[in-house]
Amino acid sequence: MTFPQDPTPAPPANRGLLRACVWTLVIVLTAYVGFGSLTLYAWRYEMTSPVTVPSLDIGFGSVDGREIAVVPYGSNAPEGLLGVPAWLVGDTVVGVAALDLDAREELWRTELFSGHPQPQAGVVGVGAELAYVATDDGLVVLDVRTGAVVARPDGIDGLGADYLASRTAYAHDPGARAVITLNARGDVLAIPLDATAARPAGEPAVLRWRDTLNLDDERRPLAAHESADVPEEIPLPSAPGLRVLIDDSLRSATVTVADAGSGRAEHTGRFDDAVRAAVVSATGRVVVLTAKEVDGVLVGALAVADADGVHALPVGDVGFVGW
Amino acid sequence: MTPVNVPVEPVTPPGALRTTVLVVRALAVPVGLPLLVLLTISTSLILPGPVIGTSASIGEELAFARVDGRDVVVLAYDDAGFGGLAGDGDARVTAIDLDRGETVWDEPLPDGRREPAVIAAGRRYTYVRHADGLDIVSLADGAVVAEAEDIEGLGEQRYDGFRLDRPYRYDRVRNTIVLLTRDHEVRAIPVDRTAAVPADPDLADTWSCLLEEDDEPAGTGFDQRIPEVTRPDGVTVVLRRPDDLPAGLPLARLYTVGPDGRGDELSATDFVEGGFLAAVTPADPSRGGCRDREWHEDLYPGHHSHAGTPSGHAVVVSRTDLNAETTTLTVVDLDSGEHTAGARLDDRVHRALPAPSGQLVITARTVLEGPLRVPAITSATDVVYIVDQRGGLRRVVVGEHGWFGRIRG
Repeated sequence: MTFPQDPTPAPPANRGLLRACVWTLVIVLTAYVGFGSLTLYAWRYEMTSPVTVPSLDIGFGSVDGREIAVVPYGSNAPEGLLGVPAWLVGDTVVGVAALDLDAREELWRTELFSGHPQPQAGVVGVGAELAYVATDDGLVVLDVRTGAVVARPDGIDGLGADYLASRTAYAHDPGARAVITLNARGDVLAIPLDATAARPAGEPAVLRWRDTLNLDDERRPLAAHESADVPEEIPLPSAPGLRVLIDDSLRSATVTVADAGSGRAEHTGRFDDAVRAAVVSATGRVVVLTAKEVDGVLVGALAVADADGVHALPVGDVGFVGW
Repeated sequence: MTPVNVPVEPVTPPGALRTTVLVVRALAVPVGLPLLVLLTISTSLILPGPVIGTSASIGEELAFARVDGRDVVVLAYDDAGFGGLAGDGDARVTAIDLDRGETVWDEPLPDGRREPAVIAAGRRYTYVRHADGLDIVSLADGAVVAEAEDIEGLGEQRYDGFRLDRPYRYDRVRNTIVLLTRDHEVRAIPVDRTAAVPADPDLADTWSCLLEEDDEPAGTGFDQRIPEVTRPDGVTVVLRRPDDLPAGLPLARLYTVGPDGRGDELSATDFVEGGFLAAVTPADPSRGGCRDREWHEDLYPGHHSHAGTPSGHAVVVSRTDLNAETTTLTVVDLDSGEHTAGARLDDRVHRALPAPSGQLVITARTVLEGPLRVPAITSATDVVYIVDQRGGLRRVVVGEHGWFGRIRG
């Protein structure tokens, strides 16, 4: 509603200044995005190895009845638009992604650390609600549904500042349904799955893990190639009568779901890097760690093979300017 | 229509004040901006910390002497820290009072010297080997008495091989500097002399094959740790993992070991990857070992003993804690197991050497904080730690650039 008799407000005297500011902002942003994408494109063109590398230690869980894979990964790709300068200074990022294996999409992605040299990470256990990721900086607990960080290394009750900053100081004990760890005083503690508090471990867990857990971080680095251990043929547990054949070569891999009897290929997927590991998921899918080219960029990927086909799920993929 | 904006005349100050304001306004940019730039530059040339930095690297060889009745350690270092107005640093020699930790003198070597190391010290002179040869320095005040180019009896016949510092060594047994000439002749400068004399056949046969080798010295491992030491009373003290700890934790505790081999806990502290600091001294060459030989392997790493004081103090080197990257030095009383002093290093230990006067001298690399705690560009530097007979630990920073970048000496 307007009243014509009202005096019209005088135009602000500094409108010219405002306009100049807006234009400056637009120019700066355009230059930033333009420069960022150009350098990024040049950099990607140079790439010969995957931008993201999934950890060899991945875990499986479920959300609303769908199976998910919890995959820590290392990435030297920028995280978002403002992350562009991050890779210019050579930082690497460790994140965790949850991939929905039924819907074949990424559920969430959480960045844990950035730094150089790259910290290593692996899943030690996935409960109904929480996922446990052991890193070189200690244990990180994430919400399986949202990816939110529930507890950082020193934020676990009963462990606190006595935690050990080592991947190999944490292990999953299926019998105790708990993550077992040592504290700096040498006590063996158990963190039951879906809890964020540590308590003294039971006798069987103490006997099993006391002298096994350690501070030796050399084992299985994030980017390790373990293709020597990958079998050429894995029976598909979710579909009896089918086998998954893995044909691995230096810069490519073919994953085939074939009939065990006739050998006829039912589904085939081609990937653009060597196979680093192959694991069987909780519901009997075969998950192969390799890489896939997405928009001209090599990105670490899971090849998920089941009776429905062979599907590529990129891990920690980045879009054009780092989206 | 009521006017909303009534233009108001700005209140103008009258007369002199107005003129001043106008002048200040007019001069603000042309004078103020250069002034600001000048201030920034001069601050960085005056204030120690952001640009002026301390970055010394101490040579691995050091020597002990007496100056004015005071026991000193004589060492040489490369001063790589930016010296601001005082100019860039060079190689320097310094004498540090072992009792009080004071610098007795700190003097530069002639221009262009690199990688200096004090190979011997007598009563009057100290001998500094560097990448261009040997300088002889007066112990009284640190003045250079004879430079590489004009050492008497050497001069033109100076060695001219690939590495000019290789042919200068100290013979502990005969208390003399041995060296090689351009014509591969062994000569000697007896300690406290400044002239080179031809070597007798005995000296030549001991050293001639050791002085010329253009390769790097084989494994100069001066930073060594040992798991056990022997106390003056003959009891062995060991650092080993307690039985009640998991195998995966690299923790060690102090135990005394009796003749029956049983261990008694000496202190309840756990050291992470702990070991006793060892004093490594190069082995003396075997007498006449060079007769009819071209060359043989280098002297290093020589033999090592535990780095301790006659009062029964030893130094345990360990990681600061299980999750830390830093190193901790802990002085322990081997009799009581008590920790008498400690220091944290961001980098590594270079060398430990016991002084004849009873102290223990440790050279190590660490990060220094600037005097005003401003972040520094070059922050890692070599420092000296002195362990005294009471188990105290004192840190001496060498080549520290203070205000205007001057060396504090």
